[in-house]
Amino acid sequence: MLCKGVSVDVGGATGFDELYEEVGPRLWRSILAFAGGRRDLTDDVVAEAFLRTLESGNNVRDRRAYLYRVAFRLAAQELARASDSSQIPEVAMQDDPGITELFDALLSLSPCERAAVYLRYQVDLPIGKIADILGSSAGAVRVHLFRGRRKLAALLGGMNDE
Amino acid sequence: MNDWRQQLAELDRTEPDREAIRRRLEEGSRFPDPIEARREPRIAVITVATVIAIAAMALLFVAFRNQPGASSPAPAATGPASTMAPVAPPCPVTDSPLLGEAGVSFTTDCLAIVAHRPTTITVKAGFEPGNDRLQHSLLVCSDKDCNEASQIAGTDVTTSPALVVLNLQGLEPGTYFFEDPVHPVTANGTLYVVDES
Repeated sequence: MLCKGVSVDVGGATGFDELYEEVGPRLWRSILAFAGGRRDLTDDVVAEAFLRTLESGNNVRDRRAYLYRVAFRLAAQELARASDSSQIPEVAMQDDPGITELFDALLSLSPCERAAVYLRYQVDLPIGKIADILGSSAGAVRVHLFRGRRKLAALLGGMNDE
Repeated sequence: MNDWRQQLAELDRTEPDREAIRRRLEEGSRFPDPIEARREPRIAVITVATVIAIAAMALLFVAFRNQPGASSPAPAATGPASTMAPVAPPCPVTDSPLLGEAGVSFTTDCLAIVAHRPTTITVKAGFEPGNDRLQHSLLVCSDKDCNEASQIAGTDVTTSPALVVLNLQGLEPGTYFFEDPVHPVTANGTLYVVDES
């Protein structure tokens, strides 16, 4: 069981480094998209998800899937908390105009729409997997994708197609 | 490639700070224990509710004591009526509602079903000449905005000609809303859920 202040050994071939090499950057960008560019929140959530996954050890059959699920649930929880307390952090990456424009557009999508679009079109995950990660149904993910594409196409140009 | 997809791909230029993540991880959990996190708000809610209840009882007591013999006035209704309040439907109640979708609009903006009874709503879309190859879906929501929090049930997005079938579990009596999220402006309506009597 995890509790505040407990540290874990993150070294070793089967620890953080191996798992990070495998999924770290993609997971981080997925959460960054979900969180609408909030880098601090993303770092916290990703670190916590790695911590919980590594703590779970051999109890987890598919560490990658578990890591994604934990990270998205933590991120959703943190976004809800930030929203409840009106503590909306500043959007990161303001020094890059292209990325800023992208995040401005992404912020007009709901978190689920952002995550679905990124996981589908950048991580190339099938809809069933995305539904599993987001704790949703395939039908709902298709609706998120449709709405997300439509909004992004209206804001950034391009077509709302598959 | 589409413009938004090119720009989305730009996200891959952002790089996580691996060492920062490692440091945070080594510091241990920053997140509250999920069980404790659930308990704390519950205690807070119970405390606030108790204080409000005591205050209300005290106010009632004072009101009765200051006006002997007089009955306290009934509290006035405040605020708009809840959208979930049951009202008489302006359209007939049916067991298996059928929605036609003509182009990008529904053929009706009113459905009425019986409460607490599983019901199937079918959308018959794109069977008219010239109306095929449009995408359709159906959402039922507790409010008119039909945002994620208010969505009760939904179907996959399908390309017509197609029957879009939405199976609803028994709903509580009240007023709900339906829309095709692909054409939300033109294809939407009100779903009335009424008691069997």
